[in-house]
Order: sequence, then structure tokens, then C-alpha cells
Amino acid sequence: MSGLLVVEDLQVHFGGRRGAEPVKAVDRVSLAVERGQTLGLVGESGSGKSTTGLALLRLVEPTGGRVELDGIDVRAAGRRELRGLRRRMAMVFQDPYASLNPRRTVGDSVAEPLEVHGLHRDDRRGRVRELFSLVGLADDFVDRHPHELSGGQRQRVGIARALAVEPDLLVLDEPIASLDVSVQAQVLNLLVRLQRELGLAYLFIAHDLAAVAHVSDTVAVMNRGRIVEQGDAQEVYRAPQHEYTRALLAAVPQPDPAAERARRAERRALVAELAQD
Amino acid sequence: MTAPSAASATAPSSSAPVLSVRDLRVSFSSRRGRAPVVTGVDLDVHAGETLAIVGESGSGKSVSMLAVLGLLPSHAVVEGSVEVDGEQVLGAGPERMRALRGREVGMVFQDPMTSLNPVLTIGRQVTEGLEERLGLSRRAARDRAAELLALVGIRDPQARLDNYPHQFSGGMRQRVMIAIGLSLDPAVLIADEPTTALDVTTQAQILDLVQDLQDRLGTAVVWVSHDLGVVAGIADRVVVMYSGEIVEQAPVDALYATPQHPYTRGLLGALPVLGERRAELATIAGLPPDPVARPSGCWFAPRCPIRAQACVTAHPPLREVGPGHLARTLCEVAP
Repeated sequence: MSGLLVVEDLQVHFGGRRGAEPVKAVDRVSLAVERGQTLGLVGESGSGKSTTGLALLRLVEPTGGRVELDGIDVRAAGRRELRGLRRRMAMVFQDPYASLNPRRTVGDSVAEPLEVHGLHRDDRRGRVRELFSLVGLADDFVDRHPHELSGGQRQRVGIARALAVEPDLLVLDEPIASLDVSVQAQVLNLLVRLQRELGLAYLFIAHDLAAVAHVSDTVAVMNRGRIVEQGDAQEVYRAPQHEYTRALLAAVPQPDPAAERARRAERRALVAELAQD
Repeated sequence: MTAPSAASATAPSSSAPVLSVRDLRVSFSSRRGRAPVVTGVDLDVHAGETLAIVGESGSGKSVSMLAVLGLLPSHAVVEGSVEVDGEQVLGAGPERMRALRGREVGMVFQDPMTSLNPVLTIGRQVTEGLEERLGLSRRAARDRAAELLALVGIRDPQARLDNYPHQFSGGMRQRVMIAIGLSLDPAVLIADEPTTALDVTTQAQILDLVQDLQDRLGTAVVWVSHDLGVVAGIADRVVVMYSGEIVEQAPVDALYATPQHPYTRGLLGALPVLGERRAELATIAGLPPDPVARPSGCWFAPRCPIRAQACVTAHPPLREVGPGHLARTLCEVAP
């Protein structure tokens, strides 16, 4: 496989000592993210999608498999090298409130990765303001605290913080799940614009298939630690091959009353089938 | 398939509502003065009907329902009228409200993890109301509790009664909450974002379950949600709230086919459509107004893409724009 990020047979197993069966949170996952493109990683809670994201940055240590960023072996990287790699792939979390220090101004939070990596020593405040403007926040937000911001504004700060180190790849873990619908659209639009302007690659991890389809070039569907289906986003949605993908798609509520009523019978049949596994 | 739109459009006039809310107003005092968070809401819910109340955080949808249930903190000022089966309950004492909750108006909230007591068995929590409120014997209550768990699709209900909440998945816990919500056979069930914390397949099961139960039991359901996608398949009528007031109300098909209020249109435009890749989603610019300082005209005007001069001077009334279809607009939206 080629690509900016190439993952082969990634494994994250927990426990399993003294002969106990390990929990295979991530089980032989292979995927690739191309430069400037988006891979949507879809699954429900417990599917292993978030653990996969954490394992790529070694925020959780993989127990097997290969992870390569631009040809560099992430698993073999020493501390120094790993720090360099974490400049090239950054993470955005679901709950911006929990990932920002409530006592620091959001400007300081965005400056923090610059300090850690020793970047822009001469003009950090200038760089922070640049990042704020990049994500559509006015200058005066720099001096505010997280509680003074709305959920959407906080997520913009989370994105600015991830962009501070000028990464090639953003791992976005449920970046819109805790936002109101209209604000979700704003953040999705922002992500699409940033990708276009900065040539970023995204691993977009989410349970919301409609949002994923909206931003993704390719999609991987995860269930119980494994990828059950992977391919071109439009193709996966138009002609899902795996029954789990079909059940997921059938469960997504759509704002069309007649279509929803018509889909109800189909949806219930599939869900019932799946529940018997 | 039946024609729910036709049925729901005529239902409101054909029978007396089981829940009737008139000019409901709720305000809290804040450091910056009195904050009216619900500003005159009228609702009717009829037997067997599902009414969806949709709005974003701060729209007043949940506060309205907490007011109906008498669950607002004592510093909230609540005015207006709330009739359940024709009886005025707004201003009733705490004892009457305790008797009303569960018995006449059932409730299910968003987070089943926090609504169940972690140190009591599921059986204890389901039988509690049955024993204390319906006066069933311990034995009869346990049998009824098992029936209720079976009703909401929990397998092996007798054995499951002895389990604790942590032994249930999120979806199963929400089923238990629905069983408790329906256990005293209420005329109305208020469900506030009951599927928001759940996975999509689990959400689909819960949506279908509530519909099935409603078909069987004839319970009226008020479904509160921030997501117009979720309620499309279950609602007979939809009410859209913005900044404490109803801005649009319509039979479900009419609301999605011909939304009249720019806010409703904005909410619909912001939803990504499954399998569609668009360059850009429609968004609603800005934020809802501060309830302490709302603008003088239409409260949505500062964010409205089709704002006209009249919109900033007069606060529009809720007017009829179609059969059973009301919208709080001055503007005529092209179909």
C-alpha cells in the first residue's frame, strides 16, 4: 500500500496474561490515508475506532503490526523521533472542553504545542493569532477562557491547537459529536476548507455515517476491533457489501418522513438479524 | 402504510388533548436580570400521537417539559397553564406533582447511566413504583416488572430483574428506563433526547420500540430532540423552538416538505444527507440571542439570510400558513 499513512495488521490487545484470552480492541487493522485526502473510520462504541486513532500516535501502544508515516516506522521510533512524528500527525478530540485547560486562556493552550516543540520562538503570539484567524476566530478570543466559549468555538480552538505544529495529518476523533446540528455543519465546513487550503490529510473517526460521507474520500467500517468493509466512500454507501455496513446505513435517520417510514421495516429486519450474532 | 399526515392533521380537532399547555412562561433570575427562557408556548398532545419538539441547546424545549413535570428548581418563575386530562396542574403542590409524575405523565431522559441507581437491582427500581403507587404486592409487582421488561424487548426478564445497572448495556438501560416510564400506564410519555447517547443501531431499535409500544398502548408521546433527522420517522407533528418560543409547527410531512421559517430551513440545510458529498453544508451564522437582551423584531433576524426591514421592527406572531401549519414569520418563503 502507498500513502502518507500506511497501517498494516495493527493490533492492540489488552490483558491476556496468565492464559486469559486477551481483549482484541484492535485486531489486524490495515488502512491507508493519502496525502490531502480523508479516510473516514466508522463504527459504534466499542468498535475499536478510537483506540485505532490513539495507537497510530502511540498514545496507546500497539501490540502488533506496522504503522508508517511517510515511510517512517512509527512503532520503531525512539522518544526523539516520536516527538518529531507527533508534529506531523496531530489529534483533535471529541470534547474540546475536556481537552482544554480551564485555567489557561485558549490562546495559551494553542501556544502550548509551540512551546513543547520549540517553534516560532520569536513571535508566538503572532503565530497564535494567525492560527485563530485560520479557524475563523477573531483576535480577541486569544485572551478568553474555555468557559467563555460556545461548544463550536471551543472545537475551533481544538483544531487551531492541532494545527499549531503544522502537521500533514489530523486524526479527528468524533470532532462534531457533542455539538448542535447547525454548529456541526460549521465545523465540517471549516475542516473541508482547511484541507483545501493546507493540503491536510484526515483520519476522520466518527459514528455518524452521514457526516463521514460528507467529508471522506474513502471509508473503513469497523466492528468489534476489525475492519469489515473498506473502499471508495460513494461506493460503500451506494453498494455496501458487508451486512454490518448495511445495518449501520439502514439505522441512520434521515430528514425525510416518507422515506423513514418506508425504511422502518427494512431497518428492523436487519437490526434483528444482527442482534442474533 | 397509513397516511399519518392526514391523520395527524385532523387528530387535534377530533378529541380532547391529554396534555394541553397554554402561554407557558418560564424565567430565571440571573446576575444580569430576569432571563425569560420560555416565552409563551402553546402545545396540545392527543392520545396516540407523537409530538416532536425540536430545537438547539437553549431553545427552551427541555425547560418547557420540566415545567410540565414540575421538576424545575424553586427559583424558576413558571406562569401559564398546563392541563393534564383537563386538570390544571401548574401551581399544584409538590404532593400532587409527585402523584402526577409517572402515573399520568411518564418520563424518560437522555442519560440512562445517571437515571438508574447503581446500587439497586433493576427489579427494585422497576417494582418500586408498582408497589408504592399502584399498591401491588411484592409478588405481583415482580411479575408485572418482568412483563414490562419483556415488553421493551429484554430477554430472560425474570433473571434480569436481579441484575444491577452496570450489567446492562447503554441501549438495554434505556429500555429499562422506558419500561419504568411506562410502568404506571401514563397517558403521556415525555422523552427528552432518549437516544442521543446511543449508537445509531441502538437508537433505531429504541425509536422502533417506542413506536411499537405506542401503537399497542395508545400512549401519547412528546419526543424532545435537537435533531430533525431523528424525529422524521416517528413524529406525527413537529414543533420547532427557537430562543424560548415556537417558531414553526406542522404535521410532519408538511414540515419537511415545505418548511416556512428560515430557522427550520437552516436546521434542515445543515444536516448532511447520507451518501451525498457536497462542497459545503448550509450553516446558520451567529448564535441564538441572549434571553436577557433579545432583539426587538424577529428574534432570528440577526442570523437570518433573508432578513427584511420589517423583520427588525416587529416581532412576528405565529400565523397559519397551511392546514395545521403555523409559522412565526413575516416573510413569504418560496416553496
